[in-house]
Amino acid sequence: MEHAIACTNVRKKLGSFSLDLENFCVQKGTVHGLIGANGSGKTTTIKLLLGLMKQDEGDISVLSSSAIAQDADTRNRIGFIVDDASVPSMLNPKEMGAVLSHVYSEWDATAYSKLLTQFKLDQKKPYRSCSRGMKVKVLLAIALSHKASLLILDEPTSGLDPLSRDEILSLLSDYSKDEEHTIFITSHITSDLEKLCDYITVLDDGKVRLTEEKDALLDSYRLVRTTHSGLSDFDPEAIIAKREGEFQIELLMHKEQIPTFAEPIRITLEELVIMLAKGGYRT
Amino acid sequence: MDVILSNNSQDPIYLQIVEQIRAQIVQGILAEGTLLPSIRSLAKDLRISVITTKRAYDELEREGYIQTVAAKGSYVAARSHEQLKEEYLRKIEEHMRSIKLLSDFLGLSEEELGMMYQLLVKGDA
Repeated sequence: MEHAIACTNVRKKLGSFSLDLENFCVQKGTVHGLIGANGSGKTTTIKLLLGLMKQDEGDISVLSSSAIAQDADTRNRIGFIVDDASVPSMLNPKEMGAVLSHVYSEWDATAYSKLLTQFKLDQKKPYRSCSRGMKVKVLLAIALSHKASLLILDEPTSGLDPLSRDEILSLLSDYSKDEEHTIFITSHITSDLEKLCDYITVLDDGKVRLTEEKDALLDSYRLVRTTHSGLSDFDPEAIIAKREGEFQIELLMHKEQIPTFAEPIRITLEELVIMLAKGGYRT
Repeated sequence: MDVILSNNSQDPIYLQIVEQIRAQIVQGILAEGTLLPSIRSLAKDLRISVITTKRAYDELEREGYIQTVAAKGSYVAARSHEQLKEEYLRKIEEHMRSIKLLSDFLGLSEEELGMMYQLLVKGDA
């Protein structure tokens, strides 16, 4: 199995919104990040992958299973974090562990306990009384305690303080060191994805705008700064996007198309995504 | 093994890795037979993709600096005469670049440079 996730000609319409995943894949053994604005279709994608929603057209294959909603065996091997996770919120982490040991065939109570301790979670505190950060840590502890080979995570670090985010990213990074493990993660926090991911997909208004290997993506674009009067020195065809300020203009360009007089500046994933959006996703 | 990635370098990331590992092998810091970190652990540590580290290791293998043994990992390879020669040629080219920069600054012609080299050769003889 080469692809942990494969979506072919998938279409889902929700009112006036349409999600189109023509040929979207997540390779086994990689960390694949999905970036998109609210309403771009990220959560719909996650729901389709987890079998919580059914597509109107097309095929979805998750860990080689094409009917995930009916395939309990495969679902056993998927760890997930989604918002409004349907966990029994009056239970505390310890009780949840007891319940889940009957749900998952490969439940690892030792690993679960270790993670709860590592996260400094109060094992007797009911889930619904926990802060957002603690809730996510409980969900992550669960996801990592049943020998899952695929993690599907919808904005797992949103709302968390930098230290907690770092802790979670570190754990996810360790998880991904095993080549049998795959992570599919959506997030607004591009800096997190920049640290963790092997591949990045940008989703906009229900369509995939680009899918690229992360370092190659960041290696191919550069920012160039110029003035209003200096703008005419640049070939307009080579300018992918621009951000005009009062005193300077920032240009997004391909590395090889930058003239020798200009100073190329490496770009962060966040800046790149913003500029590409501004430029209408011309690549 | 040390690898430090630079944000200021215009070189692609995989190339920075290739150059740093190559330099450590050439300088003997990474001895023949040393087992290199796995592409996955290197990627996670540097926070880059495994595709990039794989690309770097593939390039080093292509150049003959490392050898990958299935299920075991990548080792620093024994170097051939050809490789040593290439390394020296590369060093000479680097020095030549520095010389050109300096002489361009002064406005020295190729002839003048040539004469300087002749004098050097005669002086050593």
